Amino acid sequence: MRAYRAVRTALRALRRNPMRAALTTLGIVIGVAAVIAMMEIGSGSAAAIAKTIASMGAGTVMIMPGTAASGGVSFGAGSVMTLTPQDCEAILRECPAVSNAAPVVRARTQVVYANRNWVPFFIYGTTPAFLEVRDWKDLAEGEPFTDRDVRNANRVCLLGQTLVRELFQGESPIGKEVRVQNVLFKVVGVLRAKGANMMGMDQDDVLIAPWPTIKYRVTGSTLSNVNQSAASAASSSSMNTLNRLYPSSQLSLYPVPSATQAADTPMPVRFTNIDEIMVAGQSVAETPTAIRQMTELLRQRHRLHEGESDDFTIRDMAEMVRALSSTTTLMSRLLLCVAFISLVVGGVGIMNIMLVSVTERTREIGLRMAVGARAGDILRQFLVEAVVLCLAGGTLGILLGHGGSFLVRVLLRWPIETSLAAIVAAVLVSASVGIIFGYYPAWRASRLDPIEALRYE
Amino acid sequence: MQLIELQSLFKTYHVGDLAVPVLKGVSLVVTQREFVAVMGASGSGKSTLMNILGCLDRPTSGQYWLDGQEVSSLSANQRAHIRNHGIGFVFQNFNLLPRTSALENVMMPLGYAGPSIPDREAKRRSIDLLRRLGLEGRFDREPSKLSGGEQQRVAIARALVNQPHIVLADEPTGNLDSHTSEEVLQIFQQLNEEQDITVVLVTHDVGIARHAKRIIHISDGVIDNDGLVSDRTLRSSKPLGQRDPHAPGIGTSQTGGAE
Repeated sequence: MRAYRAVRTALRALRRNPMRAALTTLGIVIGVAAVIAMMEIGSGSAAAIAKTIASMGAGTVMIMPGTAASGGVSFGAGSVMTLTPQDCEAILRECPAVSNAAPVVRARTQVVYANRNWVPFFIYGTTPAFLEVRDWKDLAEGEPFTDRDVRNANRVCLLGQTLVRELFQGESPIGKEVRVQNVLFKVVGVLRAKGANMMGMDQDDVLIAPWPTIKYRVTGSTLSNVNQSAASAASSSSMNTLNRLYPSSQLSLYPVPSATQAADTPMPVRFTNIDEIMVAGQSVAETPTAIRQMTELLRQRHRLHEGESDDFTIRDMAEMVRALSSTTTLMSRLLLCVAFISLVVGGVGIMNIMLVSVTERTREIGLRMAVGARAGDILRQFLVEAVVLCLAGGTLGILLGHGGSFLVRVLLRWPIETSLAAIVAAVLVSASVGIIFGYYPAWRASRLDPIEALRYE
Repeated sequence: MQLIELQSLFKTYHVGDLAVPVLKGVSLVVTQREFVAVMGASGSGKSTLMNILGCLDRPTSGQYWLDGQEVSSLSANQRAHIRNHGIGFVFQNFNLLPRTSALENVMMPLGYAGPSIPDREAKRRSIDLLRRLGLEGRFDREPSKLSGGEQQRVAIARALVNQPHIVLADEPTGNLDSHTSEEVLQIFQQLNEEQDITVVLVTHDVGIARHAKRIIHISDGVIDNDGLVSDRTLRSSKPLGQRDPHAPGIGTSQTGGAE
């Protein structure tokens, strides 16, 4: 009731000089409008940048097999074969912070179409989930391959834009067949152009196919000339029944062991291994949680004892994400500084005019005191006036700033993101500017001597 | 019943190092339902006396009982409360809030009377008063659209809105022509007679002072004549002009604003 009366009195006093009230609050209006517009445009572009960086793979986590070492010779990262497609399925099933996971089998070999050939930078054998993990779902042309293709190890593939350009030269590749290591792949889709990744590698120079196809029909052997354990794996894969289904094209350097020999030197049946698991977290913020959950799960699945080191490595783009977020925080801090300065300037304007107003209304103050207003009443009246002025300015500023950023979006097609936090902050800040800068004039008014004030000309 | 009692009241202003005594031992008793005119030349201390009576100022020494309460020792907020509830002020230059309707001007003191008076009641009371003072149909007028007499009547309504016992009027007719002055003085007389409100009126005009029942002359900070209006010797006792030569000594900026 008291507050309502104070606000009403303040509104009446302001209405007595609307022009001056408007001019007084102009500083706050402009300040708040600038803040809101900058925040909206700023967070819009920050979101756009974040999206771009996410498309470069900032949100993806990569799980690689660990390092193998034999007799003091280490073979480098990814040289043991510890990851299986089942690991990938388990991750997707049991880690709540993970939204998607795709097994990846890599190869690097020649792709041939008609009289042209090209060695793409990446040949990925994977599942359709890969496209989701890498945020690559909408294709430029055609359809992605399906889980059924993966199960049947069908010879279908998706091509990146660079590969299409090199091999097809303007022709549509859909339905055509390309040869990879003498295996024919039917092109079912063309990927959208994605550009270079964070290391500057062309991400469009890629062929994507179901991982069993790549693993059993194409590589089977390509890793064998990379390192010894891979070679031993390749020889052991002769025990793999799938090898008979999909004979590898590799030349046999040694004579095939006889049945007796095989029985004499038993080789364990190897599980199917994959080169990498690509994982997408629920959000960039949840990446650390996802990593923790996956580490726990994989240690358990690989039966690693306490104290035993991981037989896999998990890499994320933490560095990139940190760089990105530091840019964003720097930007928003800069905006905050500018906002603060403009609001202080606006506040000084308010203080100025309120001081003038107190001087001009000295007689009114004296009269109010003579009819029974206490110093506190006068203080409150002028304070409420300043706050009402600032809040009105703040509201107007929010509308103006929002309208401005809307115009920017419509006319310049900049990305805009409405920021509720900025609006709340603007209201709070304008109210506190009113209190801080209205206090001194209000205090001056309340200190007036009623006799002097009544006599003031 | 004694409404106002002053006992050897002194008031000294300090201008730099210089002490300027304005009131030099004023003792005075005003009982309820009196209509007192305080007269004196400019600088005689009548405005200072008025400020002290109105609890706007505090005496340097001496006692002031208002309605049985010693008020010279009260805090600023307590005095504000007394100004709000016990005393109504009427000023020479009306002191209405500019660009504010007559009704809102009258309601203004009620805003400081605490939450006990709801808005509707405040409005009703103010409208009543304005009606009684003959301002029907002028409720929404701003002061600049009212004549001097109307403005002063709005000011009187404002003084009465909190139902005070005393109305202090400082040269209420100073800015009015003789006809409207007469009207305003009649209002005061009516208030005094019909509603038992004690009126203390400051003036330097003998013709106006004669409307009161009792006239107090102040000169040089002391009361030098106090008598009922029927006492005809009062007016000729001391011509006003003779006191003027003393005025500059006392007529400092604090007290010289009555003209």
